Amino acid sequence: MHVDPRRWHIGTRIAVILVLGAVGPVLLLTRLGITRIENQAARDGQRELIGLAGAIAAGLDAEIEANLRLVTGISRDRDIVAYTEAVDRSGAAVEPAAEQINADLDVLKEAHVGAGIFFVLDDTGTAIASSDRKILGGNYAYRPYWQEAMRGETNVSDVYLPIGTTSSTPGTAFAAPIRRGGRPDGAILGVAVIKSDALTVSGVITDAPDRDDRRAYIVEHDGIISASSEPDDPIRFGSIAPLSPTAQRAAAAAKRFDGPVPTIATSPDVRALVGSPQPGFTTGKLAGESVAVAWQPLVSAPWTAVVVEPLSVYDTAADDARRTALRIAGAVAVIAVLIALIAARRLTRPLLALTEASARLEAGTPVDEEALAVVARRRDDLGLLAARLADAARETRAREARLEAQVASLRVEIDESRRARDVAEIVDSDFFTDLQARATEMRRRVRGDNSEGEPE
Amino acid sequence: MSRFVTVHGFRRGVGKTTVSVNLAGVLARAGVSVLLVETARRAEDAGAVLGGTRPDGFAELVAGTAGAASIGRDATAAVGSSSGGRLVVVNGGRAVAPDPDVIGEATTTAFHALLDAFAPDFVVLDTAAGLTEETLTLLAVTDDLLLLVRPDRRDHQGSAVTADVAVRMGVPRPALVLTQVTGTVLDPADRARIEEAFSIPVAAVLPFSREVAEHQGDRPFAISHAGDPWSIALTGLASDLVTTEAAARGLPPRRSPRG
Repeated sequence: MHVDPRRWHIGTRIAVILVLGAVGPVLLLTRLGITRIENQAARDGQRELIGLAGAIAAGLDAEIEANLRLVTGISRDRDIVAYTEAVDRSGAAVEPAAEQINADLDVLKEAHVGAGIFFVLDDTGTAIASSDRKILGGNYAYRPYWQEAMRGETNVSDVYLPIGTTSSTPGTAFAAPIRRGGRPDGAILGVAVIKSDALTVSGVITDAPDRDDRRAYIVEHDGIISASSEPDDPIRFGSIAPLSPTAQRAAAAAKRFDGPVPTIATSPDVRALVGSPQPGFTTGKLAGESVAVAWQPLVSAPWTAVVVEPLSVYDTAADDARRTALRIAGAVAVIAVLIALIAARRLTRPLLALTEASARLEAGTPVDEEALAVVARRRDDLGLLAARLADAARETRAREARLEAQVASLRVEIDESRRARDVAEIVDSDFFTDLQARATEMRRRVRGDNSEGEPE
Repeated sequence: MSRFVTVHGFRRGVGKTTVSVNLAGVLARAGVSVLLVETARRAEDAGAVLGGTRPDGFAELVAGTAGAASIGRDATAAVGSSSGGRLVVVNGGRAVAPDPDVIGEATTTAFHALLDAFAPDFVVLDTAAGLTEETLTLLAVTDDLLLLVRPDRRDHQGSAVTADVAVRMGVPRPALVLTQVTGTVLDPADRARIEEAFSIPVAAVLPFSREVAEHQGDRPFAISHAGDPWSIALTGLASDLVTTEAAARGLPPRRSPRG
């Protein structure tokens, strides 16, 4: 079907223009609105996720700081320093007795729910006191926390898996050097350690996500995911960045895990969070899933708090927003079209009346003069035009009435010579002349008027 | 004094009886006393239209075998006059016409008897077609001749002769009534041409109307369909007759039949 708007009725054109004029902006505004809503939803989600990562990082920092303060306090305890000094002096009579120190450590453990083991290592890495007697005599010199503490640094270790009997859960060690005389410049004689269940640390993680589809992680400086809000998360203890051979060797040397650290398939966008000194947000792939990722580096440890949620959440939110927007736009469009149609009708009705009237004038059919009169009441050009058309219609009607009433021209054909002959034949007859002679008298007699002529 | 209005047409079928009945009806309804006489033998149409006929008619009266009072039938009820008007109808009758030698005398006597019996203001004569001795006799007593002419050329020759003869007979007001024409308004130029051709004036133009031809009502069409263009034209003709009559007698016009 070929559509040529140039042939449209003016009324149709006005209606179409008004409807397009009404619907166009609605569609445009709807498009803009949806984009805005989508962006807003994304921004809201992003802000929320970054906030969550920040909260987790702050919680972890607080917990680590508290543990480091505690382990520093232990390392400066007079009895523990004295005990370590005594042990260092070659196993003679140790004063105070090992039992006394072990009992003190038991008291500490009792006082700190969630902390796994309180113990003391000597300068060879051997456990010389512990709230868990099973580890006494064991050597932990391979653990980086001991090595760092022996270098004078109070530190928190990366998470490591339990080996042997140390504990049954993944753990983190808070370690502080024990110095001779408890003085800051004293020689380092051993290391005070709090072996914390990793759960204590990741409790901040597990409780953090406010929604089921959000997950929180701790990512270490090299990319290893050391904690997850999901129990038995398959990507825990994997790395989102491939570990260098050196890092792999270090992990193995520290006996952190059962074997090499697996690399988790991750898009570069997400990998960017590893070692990032700034908080951030990105979207990308994590273990095959499209996710939004927010992160916040910790202050107290070279770790990063990470919060992840599936991108589909944004789609769903945007879908909801889009649906709402479309519903509103639909309603607005319907109202706009209705208003446009009413306006078009109001505008075109006089036009239709005028075109109809002029068409009828041309065709010679009766014009609806009442409809014209309605339009003629307008004070604009249309009113003037209608008045003139009405005048023309009236004139036409009057002229037609005159023409219609007029008797068709009669053709009178009379043979005058025959007429004269016929008349003569009659009037010359005796009957006629006799009758004619008596006609006046007959009229009088018929009417009973006898004043003239013969009496009856 | 009674006024004789003769409705004549040279050919049959020009609407003589229809015009006669309606003219008589309109006049009577307007308060005029009217005697409608069908002068053609065996003519009973007017009586039939107006509610019935009598066994004897005008022919019997002329032949002297019936009295005037016995042949007239009052049909006032059929036109519904309420202002003193009256309509008496005399149908044609079947008696043989008298010898031409005495027809004039017999007709004169018959009319005289009718006027004595009914004293009408108007006598409307519905005549037979053609131009016979009977027609000539009627023309001799006619005041107003309404010569019905159709726009049918075959009609014109005889009508023109009739008009001439009427003039020669001394009919005071001979006039043409154009019937079964389309339209009601006659162009002045046409009017002048027609009046010149027939040598008498045009009194009325009655438009063609199928409704008039097919009218079957109890009352004349011009009364039951007063708004019809045909009725308006006919009522105008009746009104002109009344006005002319009043003027002739030097009286103020009667109440117009149009009213």
